[in-house]
Amino acid sequence: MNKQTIEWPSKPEETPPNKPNLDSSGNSSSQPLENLKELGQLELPKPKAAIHTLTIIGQIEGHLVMPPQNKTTKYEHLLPQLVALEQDPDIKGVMIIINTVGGDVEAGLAIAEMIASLSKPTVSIVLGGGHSIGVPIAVAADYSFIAETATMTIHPIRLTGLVIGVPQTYEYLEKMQERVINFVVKKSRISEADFKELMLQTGELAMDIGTVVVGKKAVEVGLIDEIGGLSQALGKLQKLIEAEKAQGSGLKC
Amino acid sequence: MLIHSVMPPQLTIEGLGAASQSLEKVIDGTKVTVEPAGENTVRVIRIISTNPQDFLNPRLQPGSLIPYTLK
Repeated sequence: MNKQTIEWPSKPEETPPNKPNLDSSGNSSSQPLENLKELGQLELPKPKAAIHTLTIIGQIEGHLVMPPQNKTTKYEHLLPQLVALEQDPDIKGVMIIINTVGGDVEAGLAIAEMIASLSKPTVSIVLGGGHSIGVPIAVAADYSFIAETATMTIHPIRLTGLVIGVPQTYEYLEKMQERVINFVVKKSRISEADFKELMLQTGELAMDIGTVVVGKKAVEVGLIDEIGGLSQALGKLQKLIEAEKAQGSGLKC
Repeated sequence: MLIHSVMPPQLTIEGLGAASQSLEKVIDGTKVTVEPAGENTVRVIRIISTNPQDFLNPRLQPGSLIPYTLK
């Protein structure tokens, strides 16, 4: 019988965060002066903000790292950030700024679900574009805004490049599509019939079926709550935070 | 992996597969994956941590440059 020696992996180098620790190359890992010298970056002590912003930009990256010409939103960074925002008692609300071309369906839905299940007030604002899987993310917030010039493309999910020929593949796509539709319909005022109609519209998009919904139209169809920009979004977030506070303090009338 | 996007796939997938040389280092008491980015500088790729507060550290946002000498 073979005697196997189990080697426990060595502990990752533990560096206490407050000590200016120097590793073997002489690097100090808390060095604002070094930053200033080398990169011109100055770090000022920052008071903790009550409102934090999350930006959803470019492509939403999924399980494959996108080639470098893509600007990406990395869910592996966003999701722990959302946990931190949920936990921190000093943070009262989150503003989600969206300008995305869509991306990975599962990563997009993961982000959307996390935003939807945040207990603190959230307001999203779609600027520029909130396409494809950006739609669920936009509607996931407690209240959503869209700039007048912003657009959202509503179109079906496709297996890019492959022709659908096998029934199993078609059913899989149907399931994927249903999960996105259900989420959007649940979180916004649009009906399933209207959303499907937008999705299956012919003649608008050059390479696909679907609709490009501009600003006002997004509000009209019930996808987004209101037309607005930065000040409106921030104002609404403040109101929601105050309403939370009033509720939480248990005012007895 | 399903990509639901308006970007044509030729644009996004072009160049896929080129692996970047990433290393794991501990910076600011947090484990991060970094890649070399010039003389004595590294770029943060990802934070590896179970403490959510680490992800709010402005110095360690993915893409930030940090002066660091790799051996």
